[in-house]
Amino acid sequence: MLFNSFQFFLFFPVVTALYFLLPHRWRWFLLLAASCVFYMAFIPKYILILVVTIVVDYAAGILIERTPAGKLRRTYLVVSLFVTVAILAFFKYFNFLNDNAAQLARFLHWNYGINSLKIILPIGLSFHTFQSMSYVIEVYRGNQKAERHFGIYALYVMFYPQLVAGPIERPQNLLHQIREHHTFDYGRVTGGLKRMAFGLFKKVVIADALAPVVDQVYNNLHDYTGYPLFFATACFAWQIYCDFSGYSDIALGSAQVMGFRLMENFDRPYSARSVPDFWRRWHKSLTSWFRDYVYIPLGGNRVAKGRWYGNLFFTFLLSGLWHGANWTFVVWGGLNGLFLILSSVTASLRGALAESLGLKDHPRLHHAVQVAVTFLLVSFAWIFFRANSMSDALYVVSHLFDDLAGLSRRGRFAFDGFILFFILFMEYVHYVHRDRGIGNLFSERPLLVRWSLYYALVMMTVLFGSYGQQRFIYFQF
Amino acid sequence: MKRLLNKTVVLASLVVGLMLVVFLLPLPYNHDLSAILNKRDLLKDGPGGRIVFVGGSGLYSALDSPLVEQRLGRPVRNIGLWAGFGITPVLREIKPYLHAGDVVIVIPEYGLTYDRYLDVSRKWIFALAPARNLMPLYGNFPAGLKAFVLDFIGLVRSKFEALPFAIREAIKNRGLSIFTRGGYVQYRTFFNGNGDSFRIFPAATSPELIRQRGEDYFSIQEYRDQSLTALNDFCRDEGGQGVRTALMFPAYPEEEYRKFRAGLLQYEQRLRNELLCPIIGNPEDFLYPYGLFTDTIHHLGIEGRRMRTERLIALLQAQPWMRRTASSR
Repeated sequence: MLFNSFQFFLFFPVVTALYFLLPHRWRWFLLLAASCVFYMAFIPKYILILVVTIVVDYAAGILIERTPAGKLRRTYLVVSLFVTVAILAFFKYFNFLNDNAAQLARFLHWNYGINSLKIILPIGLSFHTFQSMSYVIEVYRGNQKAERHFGIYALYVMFYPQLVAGPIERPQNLLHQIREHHTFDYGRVTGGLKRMAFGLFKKVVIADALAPVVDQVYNNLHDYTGYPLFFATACFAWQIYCDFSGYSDIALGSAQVMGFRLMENFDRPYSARSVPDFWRRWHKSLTSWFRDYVYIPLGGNRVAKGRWYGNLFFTFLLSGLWHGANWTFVVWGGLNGLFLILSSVTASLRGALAESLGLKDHPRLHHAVQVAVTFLLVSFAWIFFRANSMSDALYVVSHLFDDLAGLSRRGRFAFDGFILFFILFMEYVHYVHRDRGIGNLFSERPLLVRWSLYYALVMMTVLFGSYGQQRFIYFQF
Repeated sequence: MKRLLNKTVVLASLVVGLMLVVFLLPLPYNHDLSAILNKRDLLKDGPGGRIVFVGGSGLYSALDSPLVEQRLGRPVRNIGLWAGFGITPVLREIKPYLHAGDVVIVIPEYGLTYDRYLDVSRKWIFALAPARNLMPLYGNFPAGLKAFVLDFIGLVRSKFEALPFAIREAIKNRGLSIFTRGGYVQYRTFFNGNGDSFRIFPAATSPELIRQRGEDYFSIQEYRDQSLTALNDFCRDEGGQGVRTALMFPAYPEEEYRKFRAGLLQYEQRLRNELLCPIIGNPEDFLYPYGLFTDTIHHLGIEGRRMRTERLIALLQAQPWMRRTASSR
């Protein structure tokens, strides 16, 4: 079920009303049943994948906790991780690996008889498998008690607001909240609803309006050179941000209505002053997952410099691969890793350059330049993320500066100027709420101003939203 | 919870209220299909004795109505806009505005049913007569309710989107009439006073550029009994009111005709057997080489438009009833 669908428009109030009407002891069951309905609205049989992951990791958690430190305990962890990763690998990476093996075999003139599988990637597979893995690892590390209640553990993995595209929660944050008794708190509920409305605005008014511009250019690349490629890439940068952060706002808002506090996933990423800063603000739940379970176990930055850079690069390559089984995502991850390494290597050089240009004397200008350069670097990497293939991505990169006005090609695209206004409005709202978060949208304004802003937000969403049920980009991961 | 419900109701009422007000105001729309409202309005004035052409885009883009007026000495209204409206729904909507002595010439494009409209044109049919069309268009629950909500939002949104164009036109012409006209915001620059399109594409430089070529979408089964019944009902009902209805054939590429001749002959034969109103001419009267078409097999270019109009005038001039004096209902 999509957050921007009519079904969800009915589903959410019904589930929420029942949640507050039911006695506390039955609420976990209601949420679990609702989460099953939510997930099965996509491809019902794929819920079996979730069942397998849940059963294996539930059992693994208990076994790990019961077993004293040693080989057996480690074996339980490895088996659990192996099963979860195997499911992910089979559904997400089998065809990718198989196609690459077939290409290599063709190159070497070998016979290769394994055909690709005709499977549809289960929605949100990478998200719930990672969430399940984090539970087992935390139990193994002794940071989390194993959950004995199967239903509550299942709900931890399946909690519908964050089931298909995160935030990827940690058991320490979510499991205990399921046991908490949440009462109807007017301020919290309205805060959650406002956040949902703002998320929907970002998704249907901005992201879905930018999608046709981006698709028109990126699906007909050879009709374009120069400026349209620049423009479509910038549009994609905003599209993916509004799409994913819009989703996250709806997820966090809907959880907040029921009394749950999920992890923040975004913090105005395009105001970042460097690529490392960007990654502290973008998809924070995934970045911290990779930090805690990959980067730090590899040694993090407490190793020799060369090894540290290697750790960074490897973590980002893996993060790219997590996003999709395609070389474009791997290159995207690698590029970001490279930017982070370069950021560290060139820190003193950049400082000296800013000094010599006199930017240090103009902090605001210096800030603006840093934000702009970061946006350009991040957008350059987005080319690989959005391109349909590596050859497409290379076409964009190699034609960015050809015929910069883009006039010699036949490609045309329509861009609605209203979108710029909506982006500015969104950024204004984020800026105003940068300290206290958008969970309390406009709540400190005088009544008339507050209501005018709510009214404007709803009217803009109703009138300028796209209601073709466009999927969220991150659902495919 | 009661407080939340109250505030939700207030906010929802404000949203729906503003949308209703905007919908009811005679503001123009920013969508070329909304030109159907302007075209309907073309029929509101004038005495009987007019020739009213009804058809799809092949008609509005390739008919020289002023020339027809000049040669036949009758006012001409070109209601043709887009085949996706269906002929029958358009005939139903123009009925109240016809007068005794009017002649309705129906020119449906091949391969399209008369009685069905495509979803994209539904909201414009609704806009033509909201109260009357509400239940017939959206009566089926729950799909109808969803379609209605989306269409209603779409109509209001289109009015908001038209505002910049309307303001520009008001400044340019130093008048506010654009805000009271309704219909398509750019109607004045896209259509002449008869309803013909100003925008005629140059003929295609190569047949490859003409869309829908060789697509065997023409099927005699498409012309269902329902379509012919609806057309016959119109002919009979309006005939009783002194409005004459006749059918003519659309412009079509010779090459396509040769390819699908059997089906087209079957179609023609069925019309001749079952249609109550007269059929003027035959398909061969309006066959032209690919070189005279523009972007699709339905749209003629400038030269094709001239040839088609001349042929159409000649055929109409040959009708004895065309020379009768018009009278008002």
